[in-house]
This record gives sequence, C-alpha cells and structure tokens, in this order.
Amino acid sequence: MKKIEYPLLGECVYRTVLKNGLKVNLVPRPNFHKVYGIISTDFGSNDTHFCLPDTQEVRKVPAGSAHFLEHKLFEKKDHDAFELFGHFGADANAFTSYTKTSFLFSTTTNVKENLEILLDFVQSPYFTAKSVAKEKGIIAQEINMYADDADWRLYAGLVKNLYPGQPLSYDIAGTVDSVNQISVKDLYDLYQTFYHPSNMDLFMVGAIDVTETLEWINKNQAKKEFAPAIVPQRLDGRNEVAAKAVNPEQQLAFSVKRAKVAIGIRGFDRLPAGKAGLKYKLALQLLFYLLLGESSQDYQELYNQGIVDDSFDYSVVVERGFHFVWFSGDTDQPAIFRAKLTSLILHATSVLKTQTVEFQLAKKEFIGRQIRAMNVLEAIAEQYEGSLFDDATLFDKIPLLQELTLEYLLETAAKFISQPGMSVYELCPKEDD
Amino acid sequence: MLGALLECGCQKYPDQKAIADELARMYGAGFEISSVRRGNLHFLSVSFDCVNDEFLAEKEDLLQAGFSFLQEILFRPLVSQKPAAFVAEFARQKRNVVDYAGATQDNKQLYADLSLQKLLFDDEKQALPSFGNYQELLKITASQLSSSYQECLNKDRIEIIVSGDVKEERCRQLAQQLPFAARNLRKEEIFYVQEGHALRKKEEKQKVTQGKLNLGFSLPVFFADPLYFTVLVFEGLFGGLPLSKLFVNVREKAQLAYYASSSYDSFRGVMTVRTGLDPKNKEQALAIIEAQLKDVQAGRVTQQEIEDTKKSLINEYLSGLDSQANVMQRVLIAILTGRTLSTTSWITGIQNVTLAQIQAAAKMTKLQAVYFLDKE
Repeated sequence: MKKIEYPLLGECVYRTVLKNGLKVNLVPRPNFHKVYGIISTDFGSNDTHFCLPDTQEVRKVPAGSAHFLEHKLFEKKDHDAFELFGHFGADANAFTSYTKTSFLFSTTTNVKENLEILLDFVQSPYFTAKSVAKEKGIIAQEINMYADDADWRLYAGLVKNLYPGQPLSYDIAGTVDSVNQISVKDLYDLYQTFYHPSNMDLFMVGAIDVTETLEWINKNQAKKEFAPAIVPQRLDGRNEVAAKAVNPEQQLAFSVKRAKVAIGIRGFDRLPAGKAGLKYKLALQLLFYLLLGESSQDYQELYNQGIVDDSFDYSVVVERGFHFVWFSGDTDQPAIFRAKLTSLILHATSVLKTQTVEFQLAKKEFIGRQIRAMNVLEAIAEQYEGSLFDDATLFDKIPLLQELTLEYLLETAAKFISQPGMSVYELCPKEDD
Repeated sequence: MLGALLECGCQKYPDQKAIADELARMYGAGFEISSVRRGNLHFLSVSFDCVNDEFLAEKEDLLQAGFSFLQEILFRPLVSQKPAAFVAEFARQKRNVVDYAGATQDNKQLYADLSLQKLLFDDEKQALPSFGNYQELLKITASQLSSSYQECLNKDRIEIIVSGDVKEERCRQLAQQLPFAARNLRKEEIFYVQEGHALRKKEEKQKVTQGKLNLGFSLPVFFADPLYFTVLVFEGLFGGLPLSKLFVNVREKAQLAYYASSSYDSFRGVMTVRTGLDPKNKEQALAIIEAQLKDVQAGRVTQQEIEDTKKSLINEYLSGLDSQANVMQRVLIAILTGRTLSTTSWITGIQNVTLAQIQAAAKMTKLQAVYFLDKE
C-alpha cells in the first residue's frame, strides 16, 4: 500500500490496487465521527454503445440505462440493500453522471458491516423482468419532475445544443420512452462490461483505521470470484466526436416569469492527459472567474445595468471524452445578456492580458477555497476523479493552483474558446401565462 | 432586502466587486447574509468563514481581519448614509428581491410548499414566505429601510457565535470590540402556537407535467418539550427519513410518486408532507398517506422499523457534529430557546422512546390542510 503524504496540509492518502483490479483509496480523519465510503465505476449515461467482453458482440442500449442500473442494483432476491444499510445505522445513496456511477454510505457506527454491504450489493447483480418493469413507473415520475424544472430544462437544452446527436444530448435518466425499452439483458450486459473491479474504485474517508479497513476489504474480495480484468470497449464518440456541429441557438417557450438564458462553450481541443488535465480544468475555472466572477469589473457593470442579477452562475465541466463551460441567469433583457456575454467571452484573452494583479488575488481565493473544502469528507471523496486525472485528489489541487501562470490561462483560453463551439439556449416566458 | 443591501456593499467596500476583492485577499473567505425564520422569530444571519492561518504559506491574522470586515459591513453600511447616496443600489436590490420572489413561482416544489403554508397558518407572518410579501416591499422607501436597520442594530438581540481552532479569550476580545450599544432586550416567545381549525382544502391548475400534493398537520410539540424525542422518532418513521413508511408505501410499493416525505417544524408545531405524482393518482396517494398515519396510531409498526429509525436519527445527529455550520446552528437554537440538549441526553432521549409513546404522538397529529397543484 502506497502512502502519499501532504505535510503542509497534514493529510495522508493510502492507495493500493487489489488483485482483482479494484483501486482503493483510504483517507483517515481520526477526529471525525463519520465514515464516508463510496464505490464508483467508470461508466455513465454516455456509455450506451459498447462491445461485450466475452463474445465481442456489439451492443447498443436505450438512453437512461446506466441510471436505471444504478436504481436496480439495490434490489436483491430477498432484500433491499438500502434497507440493510438502515439496519446498520448508515445512510446510503447513489448517483449517475454522464461518465460515472457511484454508490455510497455514510455512517457513525458499524463501519465494517456497512462496508461489506456496499461491496456485496454492488458486486452481486440481480435483475428480473418483474422488478425491471416496476422501476419504470418510478423513473417516469422522476423524469416528469425534471420536465417541470425550468433550470434543469435550460441546462439540458444547452447541452443538447452543444453535442447534437451524441449520447450526451440525452438526459442522464433518459426519456419515458427510452426507459420503457430497457430490458433485463441490457442491464446484465452493461454490468458485465462496466462493473468489473478493474473498472472501479473504492474511496473511504473519515474515522477509519487504515490497516484494519484494508483487511476487511481484502477478506471480502477474496471470497468472490471475478472474470479476468478487461478494458471496456466503448464505441461511442470514437469517430463521431466532431461529426455534428454545435447548434448555435435555440429558444423554448416555457412557463417562467422571466427569461432564462444559458450560454455554453464546447471545447474542441484535446484534454491534456493525467494531472495536466486537472491543471487545465483549474485554469478554466480561474479564467472564467476572472472574466465573469464577482470580482470582475465587467460583471459589476452588467450587474449595475440590471442585465445580470444574483441568479447568474457558471460552471466548468470536464469529464472523460468532453469538456464544456456554461453560464446562465435570469434576465429582463435576454438579447443584451446574450450579446454582451458572448462578446466578452470571445474577447477573453484581450480582457485577461492586463489582469496581473487580479490573477494573483484570484489564485489566493482558489487556494483558500480548496483548504476550506477539506473540512467536508464528501468533498474529499467526490473530488477524486480516478484515472481521468491520474488519481489526483483534492489535496493535489493546491500545488497545481500554485503552478498556474497568467500565460497558461491565456493559452488555455485561446485553445478552448471558439465561435463554432458556442451556443445559446433560452427559455422565454409564454405569452398566455 | 436589508440583508441583500448589507451584503452587496458598505462605505469602505462600496460594491460587490470591492467586497469580492476583499474576500479574495482573505484567501477566499466566505461571507453571506440571509434572512431566516424560526417560529415567531425572524433574524438576519451574518456569516463569515475563513481558512485556519496554519495552512497558509504566509501567516496572516485572518480572524482579526474577519472581525474588522464584519465591523465595516454592519457599522458603516450604505444604508446609514443619506438616502440619496445609496438610491441606485437600493433600487437594484429592491428589484432583485422582487424578481427572486417572483421566480419562486417557477419552482413548482417550492411553489407548492409556499401555497400549503399560506393555507395552513392563520397568522399572516407565518402564512407568508420567510422573504415576505413583495407587493409590500415595492412600497418601502430608502429612508424607511434605513431607520429599520438602525432600530435593528441598536435594539434587537444580537448573538455572536465563533467556531474553529481558535482561542476563546481572543474571540471574546474581538467580539467586544464591535461597537454594539448596550440594550434592554424585549421578552420574545420563539414558539408559534396555533389553535386547530377545520380542514382547509385548495386546488389549483397550472401547465405542469407532474402534480404536487402537499399536506399540513398540526403536531403541537416543540423543541426540547418532554415529547420532543418521541415526535422525532414518530416523524422519522412516518415520513422524515429515507426508509420511512411514506417512502416505502407511496413510492416503492405503490409507485405513485418519485418523492413522498414529511418534515417537522419544532418551532411551529406542525408536520408537512410533500409528494410529486401523476395527478390522476392523487386520491390514491392521499388514502395511502392517511392509512400510514392510522397504522402508526394503531401500533402497526415493527420493532425493526423503530430500531432502524432510532439508529438513523442518531447517525444523523452524530454526523452533524462533524459540521461546524451544524454545530453553530445547534448552539444558536439552544440560546434562542433557553433549552440545551447535550449529546448524551439527546441519544438517551431517542433510545428511550417506546411504541406506546409513538402511538400517542401519532394520535396528536391532525390533518389541517390539503393543497393540490393539478395539471391543466
């Protein structure tokens, strides 16, 4: 087991890869009451087109299958894993993103039992036609709930504009129709392809003893048999990455009081491999903070003119196979909102060139934010992105931030921002509302 | 609105950019002003948090800097100037708050929650959202707001809570340097008590895909009352926790809704239930929810359900001790109510709850209001 020390932060990460390929990260926090354990697979809603590992058969599954599988994994022949956690005093949850599915528990008692429940339920799939049929009703309600959520519609509409025709353009949960097509075979095929321990990692943080915890994990894994490790073969996005151009704009009449506008930028550049990818992501966050964060002069002017208000927000998304940035806000002047922000983004390098002082201040801000995030066990576990950033953790972000220079930010802006990568999506109030 | 205006600038840092720059200088310190309601009390919560200096390469006294920053914000705010000097910011923040209030209508879950609240409570202050009535807000003038701030700053109760790897004596010194005038505190009752009333029903139609069914119950037990722990166990078992009867029966068994849960307000003595469902299933869902309450009243609860509920509540409580914000909230509640619950008494209190007590709490729970947002 490798011990990675961060003396300035007083932190330690213990890392190992088990015989079956499962990667384990342990971060002890002896002064905490809680233990947070999360197991993730490098598989999400984007991975709908793949080859089966044994027969090499090409399979395509309906949109929403990864999320459906996440729901169904809790249900077993004679019990429900969610309830079982409850018997041992733990809180459990799961989530699916475009490229990752995670299952987690949080507990202040019975750590060993809860850890075993987590490993056992994720590693023993049990899907039947009856239980699959039952889940469809619940997921349809979940999809309908999001259909009424204006902010969600805005975000989903923008992503669809940025990646037309790609799996990313579908909701993570799929549509009511696509979910209705999901079969037991789809779930088993996905499981066989993407839930091998070698495609997964376990991260535990909190009141744990490293040696003892690793022993529990080893014993649990030794009892089970696994097929030889495989590298999942994904077929999506390989040849079609830039196949379809970004849809530059779209509007939707929706039941909202004020217009909501989202602006997105799709990166066509290649994400640097390993930790350099994380440095790139931090650079994007820092450069858009300088451009449109609360410290920016331009933001202050837009705010004073009433073009943006406190609802304005932006976010940088960097995942396996894609990266984009989106900005959104409610506004009474959607046309000016679009025009001003678009122009500012396209001129980012000339705006940022002179901001040497602001850049130093922004670095300070970002470093402080990372240190504050270390208070939260969930943040430590969830900011670990596995192989995407070569096992970097939250603790690695501080030195990467220190390395950043204004020149690097300018280079990043020049590579990332392009007119053909930009799109605008707008929800306009309905006339009759 | 006062909170929004205080947060966006003061005389030394006159706009959001100046504030944001100052916070960045303090290594990305957090600063927020929000308005919160607990029962009859309404307060402005001014929070500041910063990095422990120990983790910084260059040592700086951020604790001192934080107190100085808050002093500027609170004692030399824009609102204490002549109204003419902050008229632009006043107009902007008024518009922002009104826009925010209007936007709550676009969030259907929140809209349904607020509609139930309006139906359930008699007292206008309880029936309104905690951010108030924006039609009234439109009439407020800069000088009115300014004088109500002076009133608040000079006469209201102020509590200062500090948490962290800090020295108590130093925090006391820093807090004492804040120039708060001496004051006589008014006697205030935090708990809002309402007489029961006949069942109120309201239905509304909008262009939505999913219907929202929200219920309000009176449950006249308040924070740290003798029955408080019993109610926590009862409500957790009924609908407040992930494995509750509502979740299992409305969502998992009948598959009527994506969410179905309850929450308990120990400052107003009420329990509310919220669900999102296909509108055609409304009557069936209502029947199942009422049946769950009857089951608990009749004692149709397994020992396992009770034990799991207790474990879950204790887990939640102990986990909360890892969060500074949570611990500070508990301290504030203890101060406001004058009722302190130690960790030991809390855990023992939960563990001692019996089925008979849970049944009694369920019997005290009376349906008072049903709100339904239907598909047009």
